[in-house]
Amino acid sequence: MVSQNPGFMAGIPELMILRLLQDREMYGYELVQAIRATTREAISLGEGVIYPLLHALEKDGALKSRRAPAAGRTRVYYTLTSKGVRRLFDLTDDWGRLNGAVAAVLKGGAHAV
Amino acid sequence: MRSEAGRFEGLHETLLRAGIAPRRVKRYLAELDDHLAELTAREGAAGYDPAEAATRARALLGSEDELAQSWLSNPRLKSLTARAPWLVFGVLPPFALIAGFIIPLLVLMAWGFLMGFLPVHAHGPSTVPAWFRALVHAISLALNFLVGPLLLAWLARIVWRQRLSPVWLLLATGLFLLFFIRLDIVIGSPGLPMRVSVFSNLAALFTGKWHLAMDDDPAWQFLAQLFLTLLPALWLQRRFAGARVDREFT
Repeated sequence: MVSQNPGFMAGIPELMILRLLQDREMYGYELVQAIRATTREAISLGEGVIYPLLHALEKDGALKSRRAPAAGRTRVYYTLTSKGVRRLFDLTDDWGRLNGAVAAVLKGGAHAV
Repeated sequence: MRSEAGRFEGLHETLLRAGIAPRRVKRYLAELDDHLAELTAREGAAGYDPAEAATRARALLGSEDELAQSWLSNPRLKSLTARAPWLVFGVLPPFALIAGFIIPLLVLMAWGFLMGFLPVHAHGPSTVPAWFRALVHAISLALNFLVGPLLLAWLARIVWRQRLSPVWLLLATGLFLLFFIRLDIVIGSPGLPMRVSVFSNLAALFTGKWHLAMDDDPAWQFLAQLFLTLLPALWLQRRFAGARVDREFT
């Protein structure tokens, strides 16, 4: 499972969060469940550890948040900013290049075998 | 009903001591609380009884160590006070102290000029109304008792909320005692000039004019200002002592 290898996971949670928030605003629990469902549980972020990443992205200006009451509790919704959209495009490019490079190596490796 | 800080008390303390800003910690705990409620509802919907659903949800959320570690591994999330306490408690306070005296005075002077009360000439007829003279004098004296102590009280609150070392407040208090600014403005009656006297320990160290400090002002004013300047440090010492006792008995 990808989530069990921290080396492979570097930068991936950030990319997924930005991509999911591009479609609509979401809160922490929703994001964790969306990542799990979209990746068919191949990637599973720790339930409580997504928040430091969300706070860091907000601090960098990639996200903005708003609070809303929900069943007597405080719920914090996150949305993408224009800076976050640029960051998403950059990360998507990086991921595409990396993915292509790894695919090329794997394909070459298969031929060699 | 327990508050978020009560439910995650250990995590709350760990994050504050690690230098995460209190407002950020508060928001995080509120988010965790909401997340935990959602998980509990999900586990309940999956058929577990309420007690078991709550236990499973708490386990799914992660241990307090795991939750804390996710913050501690990112130094960008630390507050400025935690990253550079020397700046907040050692560099900025003297500037804030001076600004705290200058800004209200500039506002008063601008008001005086706009109303045509100022400037006041040494031998000319004074147009300054008695109420404005009294106001300027009262504000200049009040600043002595308020600016330094209020700034130190604010710094003491930061030290307490962020669980910093009290040494940082002592540093700021020491700087304030070194500066120890005393201001007195008297706008004269008709025919008398405006007198502005500013005393600072720091200036007296260089000029040797210590007598200026005691020329007109009664000793109680010095003592009161000194006491108010030390009061935030005394308050903080009592808070930390109280917290130590609480920890020993729990």
